[in-house]
Amino acid sequence: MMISKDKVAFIIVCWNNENLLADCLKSIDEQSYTNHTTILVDNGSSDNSVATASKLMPDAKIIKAGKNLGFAKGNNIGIAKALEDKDVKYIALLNTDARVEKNWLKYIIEFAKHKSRGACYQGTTLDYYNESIIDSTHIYLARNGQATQGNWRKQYTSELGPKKVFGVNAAACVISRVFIEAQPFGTKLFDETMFMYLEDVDVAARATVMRWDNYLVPHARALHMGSASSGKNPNFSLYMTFRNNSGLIVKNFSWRMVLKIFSNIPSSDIDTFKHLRSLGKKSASWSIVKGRIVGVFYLPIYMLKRHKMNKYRKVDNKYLWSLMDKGF
Amino acid sequence: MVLNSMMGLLTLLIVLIETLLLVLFILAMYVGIPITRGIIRILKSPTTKIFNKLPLKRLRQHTLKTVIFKHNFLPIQFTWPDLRYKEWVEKREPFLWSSVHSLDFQPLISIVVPVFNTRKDHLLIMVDSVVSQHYNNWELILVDASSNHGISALTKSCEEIDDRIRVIRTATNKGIAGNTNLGLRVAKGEYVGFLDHDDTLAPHALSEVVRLLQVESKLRPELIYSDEDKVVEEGSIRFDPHFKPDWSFHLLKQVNYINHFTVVNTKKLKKAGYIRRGFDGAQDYDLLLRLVDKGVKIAHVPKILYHWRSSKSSTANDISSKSYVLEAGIRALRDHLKRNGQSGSVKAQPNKPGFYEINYRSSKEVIASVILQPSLDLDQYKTLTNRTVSTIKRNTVQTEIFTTNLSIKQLSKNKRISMKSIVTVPDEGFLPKAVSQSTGEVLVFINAGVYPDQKLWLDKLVGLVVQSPEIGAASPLLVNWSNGLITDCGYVIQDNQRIPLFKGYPVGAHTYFGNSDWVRDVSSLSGRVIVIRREVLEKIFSKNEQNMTNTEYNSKLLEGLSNSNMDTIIWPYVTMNFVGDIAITQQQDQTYFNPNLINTGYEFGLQKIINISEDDNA
Repeated sequence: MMISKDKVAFIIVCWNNENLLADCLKSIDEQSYTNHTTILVDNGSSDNSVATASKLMPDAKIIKAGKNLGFAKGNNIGIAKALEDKDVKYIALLNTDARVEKNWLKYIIEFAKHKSRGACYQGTTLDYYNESIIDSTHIYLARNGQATQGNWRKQYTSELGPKKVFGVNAAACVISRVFIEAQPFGTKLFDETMFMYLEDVDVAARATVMRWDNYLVPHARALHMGSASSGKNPNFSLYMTFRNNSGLIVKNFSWRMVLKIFSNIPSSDIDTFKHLRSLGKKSASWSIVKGRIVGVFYLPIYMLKRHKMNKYRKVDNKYLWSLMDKGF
Repeated sequence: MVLNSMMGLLTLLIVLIETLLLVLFILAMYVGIPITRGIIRILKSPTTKIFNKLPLKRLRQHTLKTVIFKHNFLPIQFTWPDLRYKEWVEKREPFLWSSVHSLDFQPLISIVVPVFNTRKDHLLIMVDSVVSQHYNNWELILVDASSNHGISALTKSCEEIDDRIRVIRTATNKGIAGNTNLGLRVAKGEYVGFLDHDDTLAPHALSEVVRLLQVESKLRPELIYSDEDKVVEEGSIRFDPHFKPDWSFHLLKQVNYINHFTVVNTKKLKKAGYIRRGFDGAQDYDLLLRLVDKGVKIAHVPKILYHWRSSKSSTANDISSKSYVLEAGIRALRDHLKRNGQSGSVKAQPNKPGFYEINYRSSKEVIASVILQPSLDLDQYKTLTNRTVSTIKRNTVQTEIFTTNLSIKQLSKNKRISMKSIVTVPDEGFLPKAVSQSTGEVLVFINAGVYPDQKLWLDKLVGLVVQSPEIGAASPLLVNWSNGLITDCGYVIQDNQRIPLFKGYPVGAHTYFGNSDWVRDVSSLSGRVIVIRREVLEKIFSKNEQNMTNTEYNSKLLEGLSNSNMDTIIWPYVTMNFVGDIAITQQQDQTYFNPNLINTGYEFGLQKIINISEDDNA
């Protein structure tokens, strides 16, 4: 018995991904939970993405952004548009390189109806190229401040959860409307200063410190190609990751936690360094340092956002620290 | 780091500067905060005596240590104390869990948790472990009697996490029994599970329990218990597992080995009258004894489903060593004896909180027949007879002792002991003759090489066997006292083979299967010492056993015992000396070993870990 009065809005951000769109939109169409709409945000694609999308899914709303606004801003525009419809209770985010199985939405919504403080949910996201390997079951900020994808590259076993986790991977996830409206940034759910990388960790940290809950629903399966859509420049992704890292920590956590995490960062940075230099990727280690330095200059912006978060920070620090051990 | 380029040098410089700044920042915090707190604490303290007593240096050290270690300030790694267990948890345990999908019967299970001033993170982790269960049909009832308003507010906020969680607030603290009963009365589930406020459940716990309920309702178990382990106070590292045996009635009367995780049928629980007031500290022990006496079907899940937070067993907080707790346990056992019409005295074992000893005493006169099995070594046999007579002298049971040797004189003028010797040539056929001539209600067979060494051993064993109709035979624990190793603790079955239990292990050793000196229900005895009632013996043997040899008699006796559905138990309160085949190593000049260690002769550990490499795609 599905509660089909809870409408779900799928939001897809597209940037020159016309060859990936067909499968992605088809997997949405085939969902057993039928009460959903789709919003496609086009980040200024120069190929035929928009035309392909409107042909494959005529009743999807397409928003043309004109230029590449990034993952964060693109999704925020889509969320704002979706929430204009009062019936929409959940937002489902899907990467263009991700596909969802038939019962994905049904399992997640059935699980979510029990949770009045549930913020984000994800299923088991498997590797598209090898369905027995996990891409992610959850994400978390480890105790050394590094964002980690949970169970990455581990064997898939069918009995992994459901678990309450630190946070979810935004490749294929569901976010509840009540959480978006309760957190201090409104429909600007993702932090636009971050442009790309770590915005989902930021949302996860924000939900956890506000004492909202993120869940893994393991029977709901999705397939993800990995960073196929943006993996063309790995140095860029490292740079952006480390640039956004300090801001994320300073914005969300209490000063005691900031201190604890920062005290772990130097040793883990040096370890990452050694590891990359031993692999021969010297330019990669330079991007890490560049990211850290530039990240310092962005700190004032994050301090302002931190002030907004002050009232909402409610979680017990010891509990938070225990969650940051393995993510659940 | 090998620097071989300008880029490398620059990078290193930048990282060093970054590190230095952070370190300075952190040091400022590390030193500044503790000093400030210390000064504030001094200023706030009611008397200035503290100020005069503590020199500033020690104060700084104390607060620094408190801040760093107590609040986990430095990134200290806590390593697994037992690496064998860690390996088992990581490599073997994930493959033991069964699926939740194949369950037809999915009853509602109520989990009742009495909450009292729990540490906030422990409470949240506990609730998370229930919310993360694979099995969906549960409800969680938190009975909040906390005096701290913050913790009460936090508990109340847990209702919002899931709509299957309910919080019952009671302003008056009714003690753990009263509080739990409040939760039990409103539980809607068909089964009730008990969980403590800072412990955690394994995510498969409920589905494993429900898997045992997938039988027709007449055969469904009403009391289910599982194995458990401990988890450290700060963090989630697990240690000290307790893998339990299947239902062992007699072990339950020594210690509450069932402990956690227990799931009981609600109807049976209601009929038994929930938890009794006045037994705080041993209230769950009392509940289990009452349920068992009422008659419940018991099942055991041999998997670790429960993680017991170890802050409870720190010596400062050890509640079980308080006298009222020991006394409650003794009362619970006394009530149990009364309910079953048995008489005996109960006392707590010294230095072992939670462990009890029941000395059964029969009111009527019982005669015991001690039959000393023949041996070719006459000296050994003589020592055995002398020792037996001298130890029995201190007992109160009327005894007749059967030996083979004619020339052993009456060693005592004690009217309670009568010596009878039977000569058969050769010593074959001694046993059937001795048994047929004996008149005692209880028969005790002792092998050569075994020496009783405790007073009142016969009283204890005879009292036990006479008053317990479910016991087929009992045996004391056989120990080699020259090195403190167990030589005989009965046999158990593993992989369809009979293996000796705890052979070669030190007495009282702490193992994954409890301690080696607990009361044990075993599959069969070794036959070196058997204490048996005559009626049980007569059921095993038909009339024509006169022509049996000693060995045939022994083996038929043992076989008959293990085939019957009566319990065979090891009663460790009585120990006897038996050297057996655990020989003392000869003293040599170069032993290639260390004189402080004992090389035990039996590998006792966890099931062999099957190496599944991560490259295999099963």
